[in-house]
Amino acid sequence: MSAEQKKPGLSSGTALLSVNDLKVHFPQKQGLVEAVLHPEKRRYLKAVDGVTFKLQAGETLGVAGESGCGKTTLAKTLVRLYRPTEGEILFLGERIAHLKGKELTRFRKKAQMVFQDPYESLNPRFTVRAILEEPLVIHGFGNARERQERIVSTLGMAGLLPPEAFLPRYPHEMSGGQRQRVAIARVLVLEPSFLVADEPVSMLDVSIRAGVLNLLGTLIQRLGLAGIYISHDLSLIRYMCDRTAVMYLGRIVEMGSTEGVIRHPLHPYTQALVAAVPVPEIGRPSRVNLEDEPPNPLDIPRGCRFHPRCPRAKGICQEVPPPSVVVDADRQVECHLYS
Amino acid sequence: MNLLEIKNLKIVYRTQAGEARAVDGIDLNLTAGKNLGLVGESGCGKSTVVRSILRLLPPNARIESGRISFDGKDLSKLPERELESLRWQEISLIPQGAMNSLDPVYRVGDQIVEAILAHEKASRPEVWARVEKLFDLVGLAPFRLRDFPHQYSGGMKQRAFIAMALALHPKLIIADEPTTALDVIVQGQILRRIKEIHQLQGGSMILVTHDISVVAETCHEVAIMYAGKIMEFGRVEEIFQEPAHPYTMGLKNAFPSVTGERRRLISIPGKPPDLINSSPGCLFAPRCPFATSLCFREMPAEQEIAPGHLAACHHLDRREELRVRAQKEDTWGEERPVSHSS
Amino acid sequence: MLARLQELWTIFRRDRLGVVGLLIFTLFLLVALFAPYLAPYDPMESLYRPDGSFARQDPPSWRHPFGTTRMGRDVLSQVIIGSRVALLVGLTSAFITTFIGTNIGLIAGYYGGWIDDLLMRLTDIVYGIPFLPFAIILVAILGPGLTNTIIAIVLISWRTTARVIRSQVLTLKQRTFIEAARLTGASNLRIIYRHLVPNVLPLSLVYTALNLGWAIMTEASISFLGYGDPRLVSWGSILFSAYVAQAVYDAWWWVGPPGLAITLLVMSGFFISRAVEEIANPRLRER
Repeated sequence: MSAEQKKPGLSSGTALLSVNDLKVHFPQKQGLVEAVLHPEKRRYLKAVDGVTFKLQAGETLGVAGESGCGKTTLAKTLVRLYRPTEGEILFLGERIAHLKGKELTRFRKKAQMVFQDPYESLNPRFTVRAILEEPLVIHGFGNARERQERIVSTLGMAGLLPPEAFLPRYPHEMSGGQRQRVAIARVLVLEPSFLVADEPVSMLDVSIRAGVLNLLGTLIQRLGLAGIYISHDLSLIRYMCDRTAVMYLGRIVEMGSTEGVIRHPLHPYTQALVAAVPVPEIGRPSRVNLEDEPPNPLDIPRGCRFHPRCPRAKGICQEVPPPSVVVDADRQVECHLYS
Repeated sequence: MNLLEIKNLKIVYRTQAGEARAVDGIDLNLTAGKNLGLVGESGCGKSTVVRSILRLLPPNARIESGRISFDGKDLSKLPERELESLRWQEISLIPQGAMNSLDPVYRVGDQIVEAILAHEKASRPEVWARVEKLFDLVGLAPFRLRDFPHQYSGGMKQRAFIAMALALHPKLIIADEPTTALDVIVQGQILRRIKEIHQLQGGSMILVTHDISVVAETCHEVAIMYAGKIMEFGRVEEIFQEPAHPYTMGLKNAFPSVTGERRRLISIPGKPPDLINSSPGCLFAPRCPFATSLCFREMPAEQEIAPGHLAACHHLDRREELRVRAQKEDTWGEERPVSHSS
Repeated sequence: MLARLQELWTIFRRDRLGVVGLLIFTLFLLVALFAPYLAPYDPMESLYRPDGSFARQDPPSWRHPFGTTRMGRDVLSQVIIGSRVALLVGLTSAFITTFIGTNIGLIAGYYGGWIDDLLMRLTDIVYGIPFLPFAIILVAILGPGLTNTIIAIVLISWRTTARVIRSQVLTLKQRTFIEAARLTGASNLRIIYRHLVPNVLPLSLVYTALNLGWAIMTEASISFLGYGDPRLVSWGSILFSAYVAQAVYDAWWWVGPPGLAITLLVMSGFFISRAVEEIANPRLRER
């Protein structure tokens, strides 16, 4: 299986980010007696379980999947909030999976993340100025005046106008949309080259979502960032991303151009996911539903991980994990139907 | 026959800054067997409206005027005890955080059965069997009844709560953002379940949400609320295909689509008005790209533009033209990011 | 900053008892600061009546509003001078306790793992030690004196602050702004002292005020049991000498004023902590 994965990815050339067979497993709590007597029985939550992909500069990849599929863990590992258990992440050719100390700090300047909940991701006791100044101080950027200039111009970029009016504000004095813009500004102030956004609009009211999405899109484009956009909602991914990866129980089960994946989904899971998106149009076929809750990442099924929920499962699916199949230049899928 | 009739409902909240007019003169009729979507941004008063039906308002809220009648009974005049028996038996509420309202120390099945027995004379095994059937309907395995709430995931708890809400065959279900915290797949399952079972039972539903795409799938009629008022009301098809109010047009623009053409999303600039010192004119005027001086001066009255399609706007006669203009981004003048100076 | 203080004061002011507590505390603080000027007599001097007789255990009069002791000393002067010890011990140990407890809580909660286990087992052990007997034994070994009293108090009372701050840190640590800070490259120390401290400080202050009350009470108890510094007048030692003279039942003016002073000052500490808690915990404010 891993031989299949080592095949060159779909996009060749110099990748900004190249992820190879990445695994992130979390050991579960075990009683003391158990730990001594049966250390081999320790259970692992396999949140990310062998993910491989490449990301070019200026490209945006969407990662779609249900809650519990490991997409947030993947996001946090790519920016090194978590340490990978196995596998390698190459960022501009540098191995970052086990960076420490100064090197890790240098990497942090380049790789940033926007979190889901702007009510949680800003320190309630910091003013906007303090929130934006801290990263600059940590990375030793300029003097006080230069920092002030950078902060003001970044706030402007994030659409917080006039910037000076926002500097002394505390998070609780701002709306959700404004807070998310501050969070985006905090990320941009370091001028990163890689940005991960984890459901950045799901906590926001619908009428302001569009503004934040457009802001992110424009900035990614203008600053030439590479971006990863994580969501359970394919309509948002379609709006934001060139390519889409569909995750299921820690693995990418299908990957290709966004339009291709959404218009002609190959994997039965992707088909269900596309059908699940609510449509603001009338007269569309009603949603196809996946029954049951997604299986437990502590107890991953044998064979294909999706087979217990798959409407088209065959005998082989219960036994053998499907290989990654490159269907055409634009698509790869992990499913026995296509091998 | 109207199952629920709300006439000229006005609700104010006492706040430190003064009285906020959260609901400002709302009329709503719901026919038996129909589902109504109540759509709007947070703070538009949609939750206040449905909570006032069951008299579940916070203590600083006051109903200033209005009549709410349900099945011929005037709810505002009903004594507390009668209202209590009405809740859940005839009107059931699925609140936003419903999944947190299960008691962690009892088995889920026991909780539901006990609750039903408190309202109905029936034998325990009989009720248990009925709940098993309901669980099956909401997509939970009947053996799950013997589990404790912590053994459930968020979506499962939400479904268990829905089973409970449906248990007594209520005539009206009020679902207040029932799926906001859940992901699309679970959301889809749950809404479909509610709709199916409820239709089977012949009941009506009010679905409160900010997500118009959810309404499109689930409801027959929609009321678009803004700043305590209903801006537009009508059948779902009409509202989606021929929106007459600029606010509705704006809301439609803000949604990405997974099937249609890929178009740029447009947000409505500005923010909802201050409900404490409101201006005399149309409350949407400050954010409306089509507002004229008349809009700032005078509150528009609700007009019927087609049978069953109502809207409150001064420019309804130009709605065809506005609909075309509303789809262009320039119309809304969204603030654009300023370029980096460095 | 000024605006923030003003805002905090508005919240504080809403709690009546808190304001009363603050008034009592300020009053005692002023008395302690100006004690030598306020006390009408030297607290250790044996006094004589105008007729030249020894002022032995005189009831309250205009000359001696709180009466005199068996040794003819003025009780009012003793109470006034005694406030210095109470406040000195109270404030010093309260601040040291808060400092130590907050830091232990921060470190245990933030780092977790074996550091947390170690510090929390230590806290459990300290929780097992009965407060007063420990303080008495320690003072008996180290010798009487204010410093030793303070050491005894601090060694025990950091435990509550440490536990409370740790649990607060555990919840704060879950919030994404800590993750966001790590992502910007902030070091552990920076996260603890720049991001966590401002968020736990209000709670720390609640416990400072509580500790103040406990410390004053403990000091009084130690002195009352005769383990105080014999050269210093404190409220506890006034009570101690009244008890030794077996005057507790016949000279109410000798025991009443110091007892009342202790009660009032300890109460003011609790009242203040209650009001500060409303600042620290916005949910209480709704009521």
